[in-house]
Amino acid sequence: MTDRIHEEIVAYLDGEMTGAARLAFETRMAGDPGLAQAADDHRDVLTQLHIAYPVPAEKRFDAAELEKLGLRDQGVVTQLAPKREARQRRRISVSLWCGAIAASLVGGLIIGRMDWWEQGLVVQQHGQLVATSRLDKALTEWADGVGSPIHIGLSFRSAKGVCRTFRIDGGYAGIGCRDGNGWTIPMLANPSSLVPASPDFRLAGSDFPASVMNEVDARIVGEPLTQREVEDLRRQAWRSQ
Amino acid sequence: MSDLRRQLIAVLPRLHRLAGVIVRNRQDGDDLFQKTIARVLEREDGWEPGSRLDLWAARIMKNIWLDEVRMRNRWARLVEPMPEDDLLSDEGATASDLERSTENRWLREQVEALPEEQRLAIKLVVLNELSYSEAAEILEIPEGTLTSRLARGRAALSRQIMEGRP
Repeated sequence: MTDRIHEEIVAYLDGEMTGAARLAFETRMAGDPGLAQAADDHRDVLTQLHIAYPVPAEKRFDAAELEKLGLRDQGVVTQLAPKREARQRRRISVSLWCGAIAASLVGGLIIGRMDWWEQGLVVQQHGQLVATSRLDKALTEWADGVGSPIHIGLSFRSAKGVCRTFRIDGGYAGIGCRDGNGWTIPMLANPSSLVPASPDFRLAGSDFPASVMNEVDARIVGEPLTQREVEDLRRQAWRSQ
Repeated sequence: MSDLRRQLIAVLPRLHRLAGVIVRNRQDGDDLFQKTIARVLEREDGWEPGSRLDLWAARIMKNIWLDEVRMRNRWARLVEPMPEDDLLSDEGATASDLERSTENRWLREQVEALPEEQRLAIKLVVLNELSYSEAAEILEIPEGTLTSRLARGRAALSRQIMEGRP
């Protein structure tokens, strides 16, 4: 395996490969078991790294700590939060300009790699969101109703293939749909909309917001998949018939 | 208060997290973070308004860390390495917890044994989830070089994982 191939694999797994190149690479993997195995090995490295290096909790800085750091104007701290939110809202509004996906989004959604510490579970590629390593692993490997801090809700068939709902502790919820060897995220709801509308939305021990369930209703073909169907699909690498 | 200071307060949490990712030991991470903030304030005039303060500060943090690494390497034969934080815990643990902890520590040792250039690339992109363009800007290298470092480091880790964990 050459250095160049390893570079292609990591760029692919990190979501840094462009749409056409990504598609071509997936085609190559489909016809080259050695390449596919090498990609799986690299995917395993990512998984093991994320387990070995748990993400530290984000530290909050009080007035005393700011003073210690030489940042003494404490009044500014309270003003920063709304300013930062305003900046984020501006970024979101710019991101939502990406037409193809914006049409499928429900209110209060966030798209793309907003900030490098806040997301990391999805990246934006040519107008669509794609699950990256940890979310990709959860959607690929976990059964319905399990997982932490990513919870898988239910799995279902849509007109375009198999999809699964997911929720992240204290964070986003959405839908992942199988696309080639990965998962596109046609819908992602931000934490403020994560209020279950009724007990009907309590699924597999996890609360999902009404916006996600409404999107499932709009996409589902037939009934949600059973655990056995999910397991069969997982064994077939999610190649839906 | 200057615009830089206002923006710096907003990016403190992510800079603190970055220091924690670059350096495993919490005390060392806090030291790196504090040195970075002090250096940013010293060099306030060097920041170009309108550019991303977080990436500029992260670049300063990287340079401080590389200086620290060089200094430690000079003294390596005389100074015992600091234990990782999870080795200092006295919390109860089951056998499987300990096994998992041993495996995690083994992998971290493999990462820490990589050449610094590969280790930093992996920590910025994989563990701190920066884009390639962001990480390349912090490391002050072309994206192609970053990709190459990432690939070599992760290929080495993959081989080590396949050859055997403890």
